[in-house]
Amino acid sequence: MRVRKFGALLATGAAAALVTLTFSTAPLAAQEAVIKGKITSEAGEPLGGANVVVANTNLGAITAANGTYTLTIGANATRGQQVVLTARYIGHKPVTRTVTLSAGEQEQNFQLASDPLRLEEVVVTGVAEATDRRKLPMTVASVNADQLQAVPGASALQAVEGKVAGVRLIPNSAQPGGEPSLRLRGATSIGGRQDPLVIVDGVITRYGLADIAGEDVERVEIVKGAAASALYGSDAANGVVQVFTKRGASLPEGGVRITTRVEGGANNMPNRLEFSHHHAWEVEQAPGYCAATGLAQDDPTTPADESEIWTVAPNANYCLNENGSRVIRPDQIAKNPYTTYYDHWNALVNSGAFWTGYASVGQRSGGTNYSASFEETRNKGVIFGLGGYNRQNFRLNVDQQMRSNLDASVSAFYGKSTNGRAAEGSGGPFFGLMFLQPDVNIKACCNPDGTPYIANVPLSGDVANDFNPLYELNTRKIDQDRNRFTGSGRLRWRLNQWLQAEGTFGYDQEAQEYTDVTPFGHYASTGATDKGSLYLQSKNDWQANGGVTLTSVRHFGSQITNTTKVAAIFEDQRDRFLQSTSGGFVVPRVPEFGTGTDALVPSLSYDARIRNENFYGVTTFDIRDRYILDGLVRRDGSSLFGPNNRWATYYRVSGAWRVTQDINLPGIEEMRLRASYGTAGLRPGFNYQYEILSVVGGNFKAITQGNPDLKPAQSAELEVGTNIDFKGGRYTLEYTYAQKKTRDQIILVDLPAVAWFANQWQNVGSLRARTHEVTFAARVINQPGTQLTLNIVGDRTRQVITDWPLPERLYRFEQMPAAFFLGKGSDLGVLYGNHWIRNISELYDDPAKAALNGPGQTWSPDSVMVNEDGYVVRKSAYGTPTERAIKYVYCKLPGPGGTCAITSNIVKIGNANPDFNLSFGLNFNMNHFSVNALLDWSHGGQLYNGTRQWAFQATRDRVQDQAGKPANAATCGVVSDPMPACPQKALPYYGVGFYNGLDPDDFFIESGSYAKLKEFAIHYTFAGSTLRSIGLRNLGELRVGVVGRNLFTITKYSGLDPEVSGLFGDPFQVRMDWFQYPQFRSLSAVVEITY
Amino acid sequence: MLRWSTLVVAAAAIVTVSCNLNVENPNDPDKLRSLGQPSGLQALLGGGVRTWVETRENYYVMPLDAQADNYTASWNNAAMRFYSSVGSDCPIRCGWTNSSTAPEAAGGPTVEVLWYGYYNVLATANNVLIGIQDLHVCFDDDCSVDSTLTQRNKSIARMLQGMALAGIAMIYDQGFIVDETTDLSVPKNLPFHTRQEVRDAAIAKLDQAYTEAGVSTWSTPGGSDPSWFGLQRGRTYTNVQIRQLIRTMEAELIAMFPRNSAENTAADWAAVTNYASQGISSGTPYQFEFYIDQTTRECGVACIKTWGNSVSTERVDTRVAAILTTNHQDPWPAPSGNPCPTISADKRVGDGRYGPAGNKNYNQVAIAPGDSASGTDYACAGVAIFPPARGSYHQSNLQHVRYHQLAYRGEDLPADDGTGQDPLYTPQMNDLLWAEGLIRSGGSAVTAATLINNSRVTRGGLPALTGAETQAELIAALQYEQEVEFMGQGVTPFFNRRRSGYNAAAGGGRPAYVDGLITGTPRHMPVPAKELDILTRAVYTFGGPTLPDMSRSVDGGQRQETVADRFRVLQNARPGYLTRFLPSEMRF
Repeated sequence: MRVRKFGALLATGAAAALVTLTFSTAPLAAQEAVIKGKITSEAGEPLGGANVVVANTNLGAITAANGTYTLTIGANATRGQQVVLTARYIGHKPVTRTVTLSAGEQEQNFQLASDPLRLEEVVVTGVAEATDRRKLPMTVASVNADQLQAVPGASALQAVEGKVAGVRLIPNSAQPGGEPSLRLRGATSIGGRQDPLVIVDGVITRYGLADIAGEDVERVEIVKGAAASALYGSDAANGVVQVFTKRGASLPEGGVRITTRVEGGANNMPNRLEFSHHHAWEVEQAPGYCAATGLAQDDPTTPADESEIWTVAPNANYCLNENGSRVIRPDQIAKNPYTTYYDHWNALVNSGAFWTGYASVGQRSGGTNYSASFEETRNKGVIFGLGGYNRQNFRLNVDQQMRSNLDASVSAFYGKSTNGRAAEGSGGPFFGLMFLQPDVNIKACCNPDGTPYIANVPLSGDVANDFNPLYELNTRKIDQDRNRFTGSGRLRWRLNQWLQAEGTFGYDQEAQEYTDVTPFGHYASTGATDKGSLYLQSKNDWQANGGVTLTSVRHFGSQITNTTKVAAIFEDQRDRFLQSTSGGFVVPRVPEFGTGTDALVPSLSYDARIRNENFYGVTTFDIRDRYILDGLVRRDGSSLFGPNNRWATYYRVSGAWRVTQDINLPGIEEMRLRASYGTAGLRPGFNYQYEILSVVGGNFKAITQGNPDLKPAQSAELEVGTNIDFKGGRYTLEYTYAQKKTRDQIILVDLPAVAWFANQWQNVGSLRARTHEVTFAARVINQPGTQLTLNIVGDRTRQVITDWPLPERLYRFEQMPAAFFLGKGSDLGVLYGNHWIRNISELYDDPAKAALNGPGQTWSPDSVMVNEDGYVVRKSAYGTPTERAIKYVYCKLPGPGGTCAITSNIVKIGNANPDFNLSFGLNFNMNHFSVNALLDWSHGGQLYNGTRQWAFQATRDRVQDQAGKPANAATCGVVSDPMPACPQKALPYYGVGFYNGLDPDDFFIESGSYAKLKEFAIHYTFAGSTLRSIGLRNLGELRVGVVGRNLFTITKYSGLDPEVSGLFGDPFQVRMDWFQYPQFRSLSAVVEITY
Repeated sequence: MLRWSTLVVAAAAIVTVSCNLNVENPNDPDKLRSLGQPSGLQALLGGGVRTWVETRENYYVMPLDAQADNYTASWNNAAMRFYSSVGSDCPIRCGWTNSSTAPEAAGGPTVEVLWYGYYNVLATANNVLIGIQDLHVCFDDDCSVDSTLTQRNKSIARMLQGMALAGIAMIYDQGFIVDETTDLSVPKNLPFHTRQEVRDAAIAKLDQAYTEAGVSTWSTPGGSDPSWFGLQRGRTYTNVQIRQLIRTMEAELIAMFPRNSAENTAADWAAVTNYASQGISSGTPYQFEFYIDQTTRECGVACIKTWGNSVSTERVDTRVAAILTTNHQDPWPAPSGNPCPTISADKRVGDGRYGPAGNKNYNQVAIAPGDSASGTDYACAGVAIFPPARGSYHQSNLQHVRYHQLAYRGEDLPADDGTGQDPLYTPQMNDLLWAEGLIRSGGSAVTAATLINNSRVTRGGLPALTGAETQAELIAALQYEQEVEFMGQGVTPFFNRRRSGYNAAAGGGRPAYVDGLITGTPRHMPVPAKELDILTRAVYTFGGPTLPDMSRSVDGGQRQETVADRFRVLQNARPGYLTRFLPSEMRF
């Protein structure tokens, strides 16, 4: 079989090379060599925790707190040969020196210059071996601890936002305990999501990062597309994010570091939703008298009194008809004030506390180092009545040097969380809120069973979608409890000077229980009761990955260095859940399945097993320290691929030229040109290849036709760019252009009716994304005691469906308007829907109207006008309840003889893709003060405000309030020249017209541009000497500060926050406001003590 | 000390001891695990029945009943408001939005659901027959192909073929005729058949099922086996009852097939009489039911009854309310609205009281035990939902409660838990088909009157017909009963209205009725655009302001392009450009 042969060939080749080259190793010498010295900064300060390594060996030493080190090389490795010593320290340029390794003691001191922008740090993601950034032939971004820890994110990846070009984060939901979605460069998947592969300390992480403490993260490395991520094969087309947590390896020899950090503060909403303060119901002219009906029904003892039927406001003044219904004004204009106006927003959204405590201890001693940490965080969010998010984390990372050529590392993590959540979307608290009458006191007590917050609320605007969100939040309990364990191990064995073997293993397990309990006796908004329900889903998932690698680093003469790695990797994953629903409980307060009477609800179980085995080889040539050539081949086998396509091949070729090594460019220290082309894949979902007949009550129904030919989507990316460092490494500019095309998209394709199966997953369609990325960083001020660093990142992405051999389709999620279009030539993320005509000439694109546009005819230009809002309306309806904006209609398919065969009113109405994104990061240090800020600017792109659209039917939206407008003329509805002024609009203008039956239309398209101050922190650090002077002898450092997140937003968007995405589907395409838990602001105080 | 040889061995081990990438899906059955097993084949049959019920009473059927001014709502779920309002989205009623990209709100899925639902039923039945006939799956211990259980299952599969084709014939203008012998390897090559041909094919399958069901004596599964008619609580039916059901469905197909009064007159009413006389109200009458377990609050299998019997969702149209009562006006009398209680001589309507005392959804007056004044089928909901601005206001405050057990939960009505038997064919329905057959074919008026009285007198408490009435009087009484007895039965109210011959001039804010339906209302559906797109055939539609209302033209509407037409047009745009990409069977 070809597959096995490939893997066997790879391993055999590696083994043969190993055998050959091991036997050629020279005999060993007989006496120890000892290198001692001191590593200092430019200013002569000792650098504790710096390392000194002998190139191509495991040999190295760490400096003690005073900067000194001792490196002992065994007698068997000391032959009088020349070796390369490299001294490194974070934030400093490495120094490399060739020394002769001879028996006895010698002194080598190093003075390391500052590298404020970390231009010479090494990265390990996507490359054969740890590589100096200046020698990368592709883009590998990294975010270091300084950047991450200034304002630690609520989740591990939150803090990378705005720090790397082309990396966009967007919240699926801002509910505490959630985590943002991440997209690297453009989209790769038409129908699916764009989530990158995430690896934490070597563990492939498929269960999210929400469990992981942001304070634990030491460094994040990011490769954004196939040009760099090909090394990770069939699961890496969306890029790779590798997270490294803190270890004791960076501590000075013999050093102990204890850190405690406490952050406490409050959340609040910087914005609020506004509603109409006026209604269009007839009101009494005097208590008990209504001219509109001639009825006097204001007797509070009768059940037909409005205070009992329509409102709980005791002083309501509605006119009621004989049926007890409110009577609407003939003009249907909302300009009568409510007699009582409760602020529901303030009742639902309030300030919530959050608190995080973090403690870690790290130590290095001899060949052993470790780091252990504990974190507890509590976040109440901003919604009334929720339990909030509570999490505890434990982490232990240990590194052990077992022999001079053998070391091991292990990591273990356990996280536990509980989360009292709110429902979102239709049914969530914001949904109920949007429909509520303002004269309903939702805080009022009590329901017949004594529970607070009246459940029985009137029908707002006669539409029965409203409910009291306070009652729902207080009675219906949604809880998500999680337990998470991850563990990883690495064994590294250096076989000789140029060959190293490594074995890795990672394991990740999540257990989650999600419950949704509506209690026995729960009241609906009508006041009716039910017997409650219980939904429970219990998940137990695990994933394991491991592999062995062989890495060789060979020098060919003094000009060429080759690094080659071959690897075999396996992945094994099992995801299971069991869920059940019951209801109709017999007694209160026992929400247990056995007490429910809905016994016929079948439980549902799910069991998915996924196996992958992968092999790759990657080789990099470093020629004269200035030409870098890189190539790799990877072969992936996966149980997710159809049986006829079990294996897929990926590759990469790339190169870089360090121009300034050959050409002297004045003022420029380093200029590198690079290009890379690579391929990577997207794997199908577990059940995509299988034939599926659904089972209901033991009976079968054909759903999905199997596809044995299903294969991974194939993404090919070309990346070119340059890096320029100047002014002594204090300024750097990086530009990258990337074009990726992902073909063989994995799409659920509709089948003809007679095919029995409704659909089939097929490989069809292609998507192209083009991205420009710019990063500019500058150490503007670099003086002793004062530094100012700016980091500006920007990107622009355009993505278009280049091939779509299927019928065009609009798709939607839940009850969102179907606005998202898929078709050949279309940008991914465009929105389609109805367009309201603003120019009279647009009327006549509709053949039916064009045929009636003559003088005196129905659609003559004289019959229409542009109203105050800028919409074309009929003059005869202007200022009346029948005034409506007019939908644009055009001829989609011409017929014979100049006729039109098919008309359409669906047109492109928006595009969710921003024109560009720019982020400005600032770090300012002066003596002991530091200021960090991040301003994120997204320009262009449009959002769909579905939250407002649905509520238009309930007449509660702010634009429906006409009280602030000049009164209409008495002759509204009479066609005259000039037309009378009738600026006040009747409710149907909005509630029927623009509401549009929840069909998408451009009234609800809004600009998504914003500028947001996402992070702002001020810290003051008390140095150890200061602390000692006041008697705090045991403290190494004390840092206090204030931290703000999402502090301030400049936007024209009328919703709560322009950083919004739909609750389903790809959050970067489905930019739809849909009753989500909104992003909120937090402000906190921080105390951090280092011992 | 570790040696290189150890490493070589380890590397070789990893390569050779690779994991098995062939993983079975344990979560869902596939054809192999269903067609090849007797229990799987039986489960497929049960799934076919369930799908047929889901299709017949589908959520997207609601606009059709709203177009018939039967049930109605100003909600736009399933595009009810879009298709039933006048002057909101279209100057008259909108035609079918036949577009695979149109959203629910604009009526896109409405034309798809019945098509894909019925063809799923048909394909399921075909595959069961393939399993029995080609794979020789047997159901009895003796493994005889002609055994009782095999015969039973073949009969039911055959019946499902007929039911599915009947569904297509009644609502679409054309369709595919496929069975277990059809070559489906290239679906694009299948020809469309006219609706008359589809109807005839359905009758043939039902006749064949009727014959095969008479070969031996059997009952449908029950007891420890899942019922085909609704989980463990679904009923079992004997082969005799199934044969009666087949006859009722054949009568229904012929009676409900006409698109207008002209076709209705020309229908084979003698055949209707013949089939209905052997239907479920003949011999030992019974009611054909499917057990619904709507344990969630979403509508499930029987959406049309779930919504139709829920006070906060659909209501009886004012057109029907005005027929059933003496004090309701059609259309809605603004601003005061229609009154409660209702005044009606019909026991099924009563005074409109319903539910426990204080229930604000209804008349806030409890039904006293044994209170004969309250109606059995209708109640008065005092609160009118939706302002008139939501569309042409035709949503009365009369509520259908006959199938209240299938309504949404949580309306403070103890028995309304969305769970119970869903009567799909009642004896009264068969009686009315039988009676119509007799009246229109010149049969016994006395028998017809007796059949009408079975609901009119027994359920409605109205004066008995004698048979001495004129044919017009009998038809009028029949149509009144049909309004009551067909309500909630899937698309049947729509089928019944489009052939009724009712005409009325515009008035009261409503356009004219032409042959039973408001001007512009389409009278049948085109093949869905989604299907036509898949098959690369031209899209067409019916109804609405730009096409004839089809009151005179049964097959009216836009001429359908052929595949050749379409590609010729495209090719003319860029000669030679397209055809080279076409598969060979598409080139011309």
